[in-house]
Amino acid sequence: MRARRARGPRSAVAEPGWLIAPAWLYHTVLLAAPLVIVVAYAFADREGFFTITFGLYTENLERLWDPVYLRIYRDTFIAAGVGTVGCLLIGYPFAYWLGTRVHRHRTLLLLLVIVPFWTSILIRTYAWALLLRPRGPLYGVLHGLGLIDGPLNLLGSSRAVLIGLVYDYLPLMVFPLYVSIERLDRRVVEAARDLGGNRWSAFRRTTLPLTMPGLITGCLLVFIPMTGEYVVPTFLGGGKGRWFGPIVADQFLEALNYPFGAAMSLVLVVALLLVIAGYLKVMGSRAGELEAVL
Amino acid sequence: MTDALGASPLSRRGFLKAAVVLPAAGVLAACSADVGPPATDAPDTGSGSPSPAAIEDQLNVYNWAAYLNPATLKAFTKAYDVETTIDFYASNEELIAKLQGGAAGYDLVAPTGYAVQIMADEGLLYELDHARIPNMSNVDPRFLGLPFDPENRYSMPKDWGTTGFGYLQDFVEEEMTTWEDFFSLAEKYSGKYTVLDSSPEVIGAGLKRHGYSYNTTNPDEVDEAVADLVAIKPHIAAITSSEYRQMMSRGDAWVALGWNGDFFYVLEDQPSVRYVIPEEGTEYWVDTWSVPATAEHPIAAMEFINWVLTPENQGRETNYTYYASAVTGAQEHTDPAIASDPSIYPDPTVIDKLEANDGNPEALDLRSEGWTRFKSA
Repeated sequence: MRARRARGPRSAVAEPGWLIAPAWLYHTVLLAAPLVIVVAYAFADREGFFTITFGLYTENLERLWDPVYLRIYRDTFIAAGVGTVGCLLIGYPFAYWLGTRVHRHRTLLLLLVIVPFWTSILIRTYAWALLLRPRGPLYGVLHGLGLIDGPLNLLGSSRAVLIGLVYDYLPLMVFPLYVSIERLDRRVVEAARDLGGNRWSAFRRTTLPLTMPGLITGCLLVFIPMTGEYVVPTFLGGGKGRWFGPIVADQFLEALNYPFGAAMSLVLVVALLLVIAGYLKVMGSRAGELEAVL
Repeated sequence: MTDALGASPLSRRGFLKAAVVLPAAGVLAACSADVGPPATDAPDTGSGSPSPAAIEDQLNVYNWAAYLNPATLKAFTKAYDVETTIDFYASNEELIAKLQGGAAGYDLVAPTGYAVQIMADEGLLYELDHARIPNMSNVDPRFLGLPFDPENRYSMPKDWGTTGFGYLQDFVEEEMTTWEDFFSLAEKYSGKYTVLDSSPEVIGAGLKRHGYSYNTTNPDEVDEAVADLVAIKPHIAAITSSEYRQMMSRGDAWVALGWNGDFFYVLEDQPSVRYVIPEEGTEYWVDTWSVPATAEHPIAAMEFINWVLTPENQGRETNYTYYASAVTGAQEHTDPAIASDPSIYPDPTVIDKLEANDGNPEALDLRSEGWTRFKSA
């Protein structure tokens, strides 16, 4: 190494290609290999509990065409979509305010957004389960204000799941939004106003398109993990909703049916790839900008 | 009675998060009576019986939460000078999946009968050396040689219980005695119901309501049970094996499908709680102590099994877990209020109607498929 270095600054420009090997190894072993295993199991045949024959059996995937399972995918996507919109509705104004109006305490506020994120999602979610109890703290507040009579019927409902999802994933929405809003060239917005645009049209035609990469990144970062969410529907939803995560976990831990669980996961992965491909296509020429933010 | 128990046993009790909830202080007080120096409990039979010095210095337990009296473990630790660790699982299926997946480092596990059968077939269990477990002679013969492990090569009975439902008499006007009551009152007490997060027990409730076997392999019967469950699903507050005790204690749940011993934890906060062994019949299960094939300290594990199979130590366990012991004479060392409770030690005529999970893969697949339909309904 030292000898090579001594040759001068040239070596710094033309790095040997093998230096990338650790990154490739990481991607192959830790990213691709588990996926290969999922694919292999999805097409495997099972007898008894653990007698697995690998091959090209399609029974597991065919079984997924049953409306029972299709409904799980549909409802999970809808719920994750609603959760994503919820994060966006709270995250965008907050990120906008943070990126344009706040100057003195910006770092502190950003830190406050991150701090809950340092805590395990399990603990944060369990905390919400305590807050939302029929006669818990939230009930106390609402009851004290005279807003409700009976006990709070939130825990175990899809509304409780939505609250938990938005809370847990909000930071993932705020950060990419903040980055693109903060980078926004304010002069473009001013120009739009100068050229006769009102506030709304200036926002719609300059701010929104220019921050679109952050918006889409945020939506993807939030939507994708939400579809696989396990903790929130289990703790806040009473474990009874049509959620993909808990049901696929059941296939492994309750049904001891690895091939079917793998097939369920594989279809979700493919469906998400389609969603991402769709986003990229819609974005078209913005793909480059998107990459820059990603 | 022997016939019923001969069917082939079953599923558990389990409290994942409940590990943090300590049982009533009064119960702990009751426990303290029999914490004797343990090494002397076991009659030393001489031939091949190991001395305490001969066992490894470590014992790693993998168990249901709140399912081993800390006093028992502590006494064993002291008597044998071993270090112990304890981890928890929430269902037999989880235990099987973990061991099958290669989880190592555990010396002692507590699977239910049918899980013993599955794991033994998979080569996941260590073959016990009966010479090291002379206290096997303390076990009531009814609980030995059960179909899941006919020669007890892989397991020793830990305790046993039933799956039924509990309800709070303060809130529920009717007297509930059957699965029929359980299903038909769900609408009236909508939002106050919970069921276990476990397919055999819950689908089994629907099956038993119609007089079918817990282990049916008839898809039509499973369909009927699932349809009943789907019908009451809108009234269920939570599908959980770990939270219903707390929900009942707070009065947030009034009717819960669960394991008999669990409802005793509710008693302190809700004195009106009543456990029902439904008249149509239900499941009974025998949980065991087993040693994984990957155990690094199997001698210590077998020594523990032997040590815990004394009436004194079993009595202490029942005082803590509220589950019936399989050891003869354990009742005499159990808090009389617990030992005489028919929901823990049911009447023999009730026992005749009980049935155990037989571990049949076909039945499990049918229930799993129905379970997904129930959950996604």
